[in-house]
Amino acid sequence: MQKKTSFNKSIVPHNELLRGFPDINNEIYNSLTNYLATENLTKIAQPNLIIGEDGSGKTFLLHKIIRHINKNFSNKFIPIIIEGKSLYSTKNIWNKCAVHLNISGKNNTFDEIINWQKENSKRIILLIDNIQYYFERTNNVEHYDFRGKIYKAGAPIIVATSNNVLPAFTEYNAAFFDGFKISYLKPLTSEIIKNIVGNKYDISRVEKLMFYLPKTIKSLIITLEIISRNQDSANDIQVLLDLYNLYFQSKYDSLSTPTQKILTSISHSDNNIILSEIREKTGLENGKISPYLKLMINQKVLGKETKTERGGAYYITDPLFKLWLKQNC
Amino acid sequence: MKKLYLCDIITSQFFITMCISNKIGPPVEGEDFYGREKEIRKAIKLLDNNHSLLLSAPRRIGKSSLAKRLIEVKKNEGWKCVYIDLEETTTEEGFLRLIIESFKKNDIWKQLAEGASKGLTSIFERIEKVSVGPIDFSLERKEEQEDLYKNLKELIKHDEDTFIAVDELTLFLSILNKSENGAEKVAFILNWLRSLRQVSKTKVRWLFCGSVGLRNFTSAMNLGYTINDLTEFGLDELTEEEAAGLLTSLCKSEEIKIENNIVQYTLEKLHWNIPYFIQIIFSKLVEEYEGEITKENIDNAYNKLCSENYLNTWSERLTEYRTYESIARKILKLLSTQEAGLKRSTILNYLMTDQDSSKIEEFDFTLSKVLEMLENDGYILKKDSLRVFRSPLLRDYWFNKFVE
Repeated sequence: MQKKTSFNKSIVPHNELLRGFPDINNEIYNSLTNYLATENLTKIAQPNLIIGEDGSGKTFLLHKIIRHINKNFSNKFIPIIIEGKSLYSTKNIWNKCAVHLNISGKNNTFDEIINWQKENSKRIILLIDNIQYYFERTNNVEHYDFRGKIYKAGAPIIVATSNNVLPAFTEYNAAFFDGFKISYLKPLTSEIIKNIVGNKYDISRVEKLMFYLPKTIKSLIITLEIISRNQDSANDIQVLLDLYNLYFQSKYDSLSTPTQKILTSISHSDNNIILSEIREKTGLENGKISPYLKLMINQKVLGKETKTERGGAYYITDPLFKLWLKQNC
Repeated sequence: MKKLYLCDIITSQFFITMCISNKIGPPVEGEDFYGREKEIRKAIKLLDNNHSLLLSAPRRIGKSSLAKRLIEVKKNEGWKCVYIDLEETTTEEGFLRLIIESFKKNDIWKQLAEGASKGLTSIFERIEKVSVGPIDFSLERKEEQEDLYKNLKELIKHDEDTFIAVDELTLFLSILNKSENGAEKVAFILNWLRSLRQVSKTKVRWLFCGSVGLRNFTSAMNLGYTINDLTEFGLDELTEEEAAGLLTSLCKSEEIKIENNIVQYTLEKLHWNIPYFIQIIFSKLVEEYEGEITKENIDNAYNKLCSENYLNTWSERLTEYRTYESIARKILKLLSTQEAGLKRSTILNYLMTDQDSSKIEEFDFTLSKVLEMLENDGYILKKDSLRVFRSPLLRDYWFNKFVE
């Protein structure tokens, strides 16, 4: 039985910690606020899309922009934030806007919104967080309808975020093909992490923990919280695993038995592992392994190194999940 | 009303150089529109000579922006102008509503004369109520549909200079075609639009634009005759001077210094100078460089754009070509080495290398199919008789990843 490390329950709010890192994502923030400073009430607007993996600070960035608008442009803009998870159609977007503005939206909601803007001499900045949900749930016809409206002169200005580059943004036949100005929230580099951490934390402990996590600001916050509360540095990784235990357990339980078997075999190998080795370790036949491998690659659970002398070699993409599997299976 | 002549348009470019803003994606209008002088001159001449136009061109080339610019020019000449964007509608009712509402807004409908028929009076009364709320139609019976369209045709003022730009007509018709009795509805609308253009001595001119070719669409449905009166109108890259002017103006608007030789260097790098590519390279320059722009800055900005993650999706998507994937990859690899593009016959010879010569017909057929797929999916385009990468960024990405 593994020794479980106790964890201090008092959590420092993430936003508070994030405020301590004012320079993160500043490039995109500056570019957006500079654009808003020059935009007026009547032109066709520049739709913006911010791409960043989960935990990279997209929501935080949107809230920072809202604060900036309220402080500097409240005379010409009104920010409205919508969570993409709540969107199932283009109509939903305009209906949620109408609710915010306290207008009926009974007839043509979009036209009512435009009229509201005219009457109040203000333009809406529509911030849609996690817009990938909207694009994944709706079809190209809906997207064209959305595009037709936001490309009108004086229409609400869209600033959206997505955790992924979707075909809806890049396929030639998609309504929004090359239709957004896309900015990427880049992963944190070792240099940035060192700058943020400074002398306040033991950098070797930070680097050790960050090795297992996505290079995002949220990961760094988790890392710093662990170091702050855990006295014994030798236990850091164990604390991290405890934190993710329930998540990995349910992820593992949702997998089919052959998938569990394949993942376990890969997790116990120090190096990337080729098909014949997986077959040997799992006892499964080639024809039965390949479909599962393909599926896991599509789901990005596995990666495949193609240029090896021995043929394609597989690895588990999430190093922390690999470690969890190794310890628990 | 003040008439705007071509010399005014050209002169206006001088005044806008300080206030043009960089918009990536949406159409631009007013002071953000730049260049296209030759095309505007040609379109105006055709419209003045009573031609209606058909503008088909690849995506991101600036069709909608040009249509909006033509509207500005014609409005300044005192014409009545309407811009109808059909991407917002998917049904026949929606199409009619858009037409009726935008015609009403722009004063295209006649006043009802005394002694008008009951049907005409009824539709006129409904049009008058447009500002109050949405109007309803009954299109269930064929006679009702025919009457409605006939009445609408009679209500249009044909004796006043009018310019109507219809955007994304093919997109709308393709969606409509998939609905119940879609082919019939498509045929009806195309024939109705044609009948509007055939009204004797009509002064209403039309422009239909879209990235999906209306000619191919109508000929596939045996409806080619419904658009054969339209004059084809092409749109390609900006002229060298215009492309240079656009980049210089964008730089001036952000107080970025750029020498003429650097402007030329940038345009040579892009090779295909459509506004979109100039705008995206400029957006990178604004984000990352200050002061005077150097060749190295241009190279860095360009290389960054070529290494954007999303470009991988173009390669990943080729798996959907299944049995054609390998040939598609061969063609793209070859084209990525040839900036100026290649003739179909050259590509065929390349594919036939080391193959049994008896397979020529099979390869010829496959090549046609794959080229069509690659064109439809936006990988390549046909420029004169050459096939080229549609995007210089994609071409260089392909070259760096799969050739070099």
